[in-house]
Amino acid sequence: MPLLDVDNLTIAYHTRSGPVTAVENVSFRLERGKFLGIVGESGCGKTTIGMSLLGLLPENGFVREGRILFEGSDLLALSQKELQAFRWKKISMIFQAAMNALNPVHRVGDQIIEAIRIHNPEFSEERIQKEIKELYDLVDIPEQRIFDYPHQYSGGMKQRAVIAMALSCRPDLVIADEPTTALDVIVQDQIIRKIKDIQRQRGIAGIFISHDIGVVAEACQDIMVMYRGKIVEQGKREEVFVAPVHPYTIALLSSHLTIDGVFDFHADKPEVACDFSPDFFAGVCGYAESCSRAEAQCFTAPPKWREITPTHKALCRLCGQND
Amino acid sequence: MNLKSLLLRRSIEILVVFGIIMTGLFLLFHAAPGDPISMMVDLTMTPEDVERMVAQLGLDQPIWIQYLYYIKNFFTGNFGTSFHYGRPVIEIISERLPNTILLFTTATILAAMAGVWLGKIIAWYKGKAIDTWTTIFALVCNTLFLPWISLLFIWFFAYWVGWFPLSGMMTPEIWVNPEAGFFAKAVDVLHHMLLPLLTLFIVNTGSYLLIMRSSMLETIKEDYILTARAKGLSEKQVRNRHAAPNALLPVVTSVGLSLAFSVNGGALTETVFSWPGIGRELIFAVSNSDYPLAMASFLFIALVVLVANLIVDILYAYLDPRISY
Repeated sequence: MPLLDVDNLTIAYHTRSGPVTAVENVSFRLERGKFLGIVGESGCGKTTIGMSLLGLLPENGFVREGRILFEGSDLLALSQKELQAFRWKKISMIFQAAMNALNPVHRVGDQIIEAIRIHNPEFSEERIQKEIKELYDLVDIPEQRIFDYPHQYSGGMKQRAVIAMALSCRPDLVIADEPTTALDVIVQDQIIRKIKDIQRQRGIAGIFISHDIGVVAEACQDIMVMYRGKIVEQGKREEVFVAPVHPYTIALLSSHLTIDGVFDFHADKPEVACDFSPDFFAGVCGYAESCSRAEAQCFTAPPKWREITPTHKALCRLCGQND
Repeated sequence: MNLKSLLLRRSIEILVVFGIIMTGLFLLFHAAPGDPISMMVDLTMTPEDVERMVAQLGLDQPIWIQYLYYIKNFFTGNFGTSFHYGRPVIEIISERLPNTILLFTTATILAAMAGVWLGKIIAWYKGKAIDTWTTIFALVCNTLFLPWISLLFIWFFAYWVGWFPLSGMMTPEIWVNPEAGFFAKAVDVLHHMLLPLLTLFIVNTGSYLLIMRSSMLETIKEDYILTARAKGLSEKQVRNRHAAPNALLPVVTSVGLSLAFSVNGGALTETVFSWPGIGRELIFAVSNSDYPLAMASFLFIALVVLVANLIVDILYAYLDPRISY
């Protein structure tokens, strides 16, 4: 049984002009100890997926269809109380803006201890102190900084503290939503190394959400590329990055600058296509209008899943054809 | 942040500001139209009498000598004699100021507590009927014209229903009775105080509720609220531990300001309720050209405002660790 099994998940937001689908027919599985990367541009639904796993969709968001099974039990069927007990204990999150993820009026250590206490009410005071020291040791923050306030931390320290917080209840799965976006590249690298270390040491599974392909490529074994709320290509890291098939993935990779030019062999660059009109789900390929390879049928018929290998597939009628 | 050094620094600042206020007041009173002597002269006085009085008051001295006397007198607690009452000004102030502080500080603190509590809860029900109605009610309370609602309350509660005395702060019979103990007197004052307190409470609670509510709604959008929810905290824990302490800051500022304003801005309320406070005394002194009394009232009001500010600063530093002075 996989740790996480997301099946045909469709999430929409109520808006003034009716419901808008943000995530459509997303299915994936995650095994224990594995890291899955979700790549895509802003607004493609990456964060919405992450939030739905914790039952933390904004008030106007709702799951329209699909199932989320965690260790075989349906997350969407949990009551508010069960959900509160489940959060952080089983799935925790490293938030997008770590700078603001810590409450400025409470000491950082207290905010971490708060999570430990809620989920482990049986812990003694000494046990909690021991846990928090271990956590700080794990993320390389000196012990004497535990009870400082967030504004006394540097950006990288805050990010590491947020990681420590995410690990504080020993969850099975950590969702890292753009964990390095606000940091400079040196600190970014440190954080990624740290996350990989922790993954190795504690054997936890993770979902790594980012628009930064380089970051995802470094940390994850499985990759999912999203575009306009849909998965357009998913597979193993080597498959998606070395032999991408979906025109969007190809364009996305080619827009990524690398020193050695590994991803640089594709001429296609993706065009800006951020207008999120509800009608783009009307059964045609969402990428067709930006796609340099689009054919007439891309604009009239829905795209199809093509299996390239048993683990690698893409949502494009043109892929995998012997043309 | 070191509380001691904060206190010391702010105290020095307050002294400087107070010095400026003192000087300003002195100059203003000098520039004011009217002549203090003309208030004291009567028909039986000869011109020599008047001259002697001018010399006695030091008004024949150059202005800087007068200023130095003014400073010296302030620090020796000599504020002169009220023209109207014929008693030392310091006596009158020390009778009136505590009455004002008692009424307005109590009202402000109670209203702030109620407003914060209600605003905190209401914000959590944003968009629901209870939120809409409470907000409308608070808006109405907030915009009520204080003297008008005061008169209405006096008419209804004191005259019509007869629960409270019509005006004043104490019943003379109780206070002249040598057998009346402290408790009886306290109950008497409380009885007189309830109606003005209720009026101020209703009007102020509305404004604190609105400030707290909107501050909470801003705070709820913050990322750390999402973090708190994700950690598995219950809604109540999220609200009380993570949203409310942060949302409290604008309310504290507002409380500090209204504490300061209540000392003088309460003049109307004091007049309507015949509350023997310093606001009423100030209006009386100014309209009767009772210079010593007016000047001392202004000085003490300024002092109370400065001290209220200091208290708010300390509270602020306590509530928000990011602030250091």
